Amino acid sequence: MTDTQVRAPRDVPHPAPGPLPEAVAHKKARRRRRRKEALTGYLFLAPWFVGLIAVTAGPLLASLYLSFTDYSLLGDYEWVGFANYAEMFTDDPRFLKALTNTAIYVFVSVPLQLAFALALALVLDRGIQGLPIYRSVYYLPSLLGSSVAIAVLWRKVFGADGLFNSFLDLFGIEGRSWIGDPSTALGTLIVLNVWTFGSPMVIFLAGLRQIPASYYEAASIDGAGWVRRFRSITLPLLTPIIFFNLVLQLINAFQSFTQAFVVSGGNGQPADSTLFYTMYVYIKGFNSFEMGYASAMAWFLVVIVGSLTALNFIMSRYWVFYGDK
Amino acid sequence: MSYRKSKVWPALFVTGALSFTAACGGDDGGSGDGKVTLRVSWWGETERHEMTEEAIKVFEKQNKDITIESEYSDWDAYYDQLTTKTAAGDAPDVFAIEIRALGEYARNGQLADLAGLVPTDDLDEKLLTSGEVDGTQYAIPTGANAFTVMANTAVFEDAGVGLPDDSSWTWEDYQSLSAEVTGSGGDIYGTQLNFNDAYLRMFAAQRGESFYEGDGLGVSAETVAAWFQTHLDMIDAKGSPSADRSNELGATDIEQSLIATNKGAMGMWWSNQLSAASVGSGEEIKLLQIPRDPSADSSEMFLQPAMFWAASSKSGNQEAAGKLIDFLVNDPRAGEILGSDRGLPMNDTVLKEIEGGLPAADKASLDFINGIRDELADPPSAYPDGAVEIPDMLERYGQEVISGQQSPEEAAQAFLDEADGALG
Repeated sequence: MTDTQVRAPRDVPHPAPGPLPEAVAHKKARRRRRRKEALTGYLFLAPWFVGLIAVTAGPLLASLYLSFTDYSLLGDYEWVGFANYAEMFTDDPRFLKALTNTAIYVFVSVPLQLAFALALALVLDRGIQGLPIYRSVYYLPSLLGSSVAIAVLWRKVFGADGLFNSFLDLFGIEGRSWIGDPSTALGTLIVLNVWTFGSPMVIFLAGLRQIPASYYEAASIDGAGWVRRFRSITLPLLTPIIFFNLVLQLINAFQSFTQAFVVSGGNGQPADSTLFYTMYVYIKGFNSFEMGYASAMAWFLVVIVGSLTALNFIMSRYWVFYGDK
Repeated sequence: MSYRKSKVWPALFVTGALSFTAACGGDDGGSGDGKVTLRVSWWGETERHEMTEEAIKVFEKQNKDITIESEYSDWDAYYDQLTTKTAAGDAPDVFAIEIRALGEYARNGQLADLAGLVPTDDLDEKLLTSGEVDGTQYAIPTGANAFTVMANTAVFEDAGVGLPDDSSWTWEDYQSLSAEVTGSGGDIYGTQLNFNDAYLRMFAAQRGESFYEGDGLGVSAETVAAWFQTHLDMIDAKGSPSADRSNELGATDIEQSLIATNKGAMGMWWSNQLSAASVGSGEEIKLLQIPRDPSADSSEMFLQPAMFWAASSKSGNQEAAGKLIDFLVNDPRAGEILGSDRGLPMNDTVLKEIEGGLPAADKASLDFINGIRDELADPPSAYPDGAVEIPDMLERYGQEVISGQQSPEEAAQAFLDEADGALG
C-alpha cells in the first residue's frame, strides 16, 4: 500500500549452466502463467478503464480546452488564450481569498487530524478490550464527515443557539454564532475535518500492528522508556504510513466541498470566510455562467495538488524510512 | 492451476455486468405518431410540485395529443440542472425562470419568442414588459410579488408596542420601533437584517436613483454606503440581532426567519412568502409598506414577477409549449389550482374568478397590493447580463460591513467596482 512498487518476482538462479529441456518447458509454463495473471489484472481493471475512457476522459480533455475559452455554458465561445489564467491572479480578489481559505484549511486541519489519528491509534493499539467496537465507532465520522447531514448538524452545533454554546454556558462563557462570525466560521470547518480522523487512524492501527514486538522487548531490556521507544522504534517504522496518510489527506482536503457548501449556504458566507476553492469553481461555473474560467481554475487546482504531491514524494526521501532498504 | 482460471471469469463477469448496466441507461425519449411530448421544468417545494402536477393533469385532459413530462427540483439545484441541460442542447420545452437569469438566457438565444404563441391580451401590461428582453417577449410572468415588511402582530402585542403607520413611516421610525421591541425584554428582536437587492432598489429609488441603468448599475456609492450604514445602525440600536447572529440567520429561509419562529416582530420578504411565514408562526402576519426616505414622496414599492414561464428556442414543439403556458397563466381552472403560489395571477379574469376561494394569506396579500396599487412604481425590466451575481455580492459586502471588516464607504465602492466587472 505504501510501497507503490510491487517487485516482480525475479528469476531463480538455475542449477545448471545450459538450459535443460525441462527447464525451458518450465520457463514457458511460467511465462504463460504470468501472461494469464496479467490478463486477469487487466480484466479487473477494465470496468474502471472503460469508465475512464467513456465517461471521464472526454470531459477532462474538453475542460482543458475550455479553460482557454470564454465558454459561458449558454452561448458560443471564443479562444482567449491564457486570459483566464491571468485573470485569476491579476483581477480576481475572490480567487485569492478562496485560495487562502483553502490553504489555511488544508495546512491546519490535516496535521491536526493526523496527530489526532496517530494518538488514538497508539491508545487503541495497547490492547484495549472491545477494540473492534472502538475502532468502528471512531471510524464512523470518516464515513459521515463529508455528508450533507453532518454539515447540517454542524450548523446546528455551532450556531448561536447551538450545542457548543450550551456547553460553554456551563462554564459561564457567553458564546456567539460561530458559523456566523467570519473570524470563526472557517475554524468550525477545520474542526469538522479533524473530527473525521477515523480513516487515517485505522491505517495507523494496521501499521502499528506490523511493527515486530521483539523490537520493543529488546529496547525495554536495554532500559528504554515509553517516550524513547516511541521516538526510536514506533515513529521511524511508521513513517511510510504517515507519509501515505499525509499524501491522501492533503489531496482530500484540497477537494473539500460539501461541508463548506452546506455550512455557508452555498456562497462562502459569512463574508467569503468559508469560500473554498472547489466551491468557487462551482459558483463561477454554474452561478456566474463562466465555465471557461471555472475550467481554468479546476486545472490550476490540478497543478497545485500535483506539485504538492510531487514535493511530498521528493521530501519523503529525507524522512520516510522503509525497513527493507 | 484451475484456481487461476477461476479468477478470469469473475473479472469478465464484472466487466460485462457493468457495461450492460451502462448500456441500459439509454435515452427513452421521443414521441409517437402525432402525439407531442413536452418536458416541463420548475423549482419549488412539495406543495408547489403537487399543485403544478394537478394543473398539468387538467391540461392533459383538455389536450389529448400532448403528454407532459415534468422535471422539478428544489431551488438550490434548479439552475445547475437547467443550465447543464441547456448547455447540452437538451433544454426542457417549457421551464420556469426568474428575472435575474432571464436576460442571460434570452441574449444567448436560448429562449423562444412567445409573442405569437401565448395570448397576452388579458395580462397586466406593465408586468408583461418585464418579460421582454430587447423588445421581444421571451417570457410570461407567472404572477406578481411585492417586497414588503412583514409584521408579526403577536410579537408586537407581547412587546406592548403598537404597529406603525406604514403609509408614512421613515427608516428612522423603522429603526427606533425595532429597538423598542427588542428593548421590551424577553427573547425577541425588533427585526431581521436583510441584504436583498430589491430592498436597495427601493432605497435608491426613494433617493431618486435607479438601481440598474442600461448595462450597468445606476446607483451611487453614497447611496449604497448609506444603505449599508442603516444596517450597522440597526445593530448598534439593538433593533436586530448581533452581526454574527444576523449572518447565521441570513443564510436560512423564511421558515427559520425571526417572524416565522415568533422571535422577531419584523422582517422583509416577498409577499408570496406570507403564507409560509403565517404557517410557520401560527400567528397573524401583516404586510406593511416599506419605510421611506423623509424627502421621498412615495415608498417606490414595485410589483415584480415572482417568476416567468419560458420556452426553449431549441424545442420542436413550440406551439404546444405556448399552449401550456397559455393554460397556466390564462385559464381560470389552472388559477384555481395554483392560487398565488407563483405570485398573484396577473390575468384579471382569472383573479376575479378565484378571489373568493383564495386562502387567507393570499387574500391578505391581494388586498395589500390592491391598496397600494396606485402608488406603485413601474416593474423592473429584464436585468443586464451578470445580474445573477448581484444578490450574493450585496450580501457578502453587507456581511463584511456588519462584521467590521470594511467601512460602509469602502464596501460600497468595492461593491460598485466588482458589480461593474460582472455586469454587461
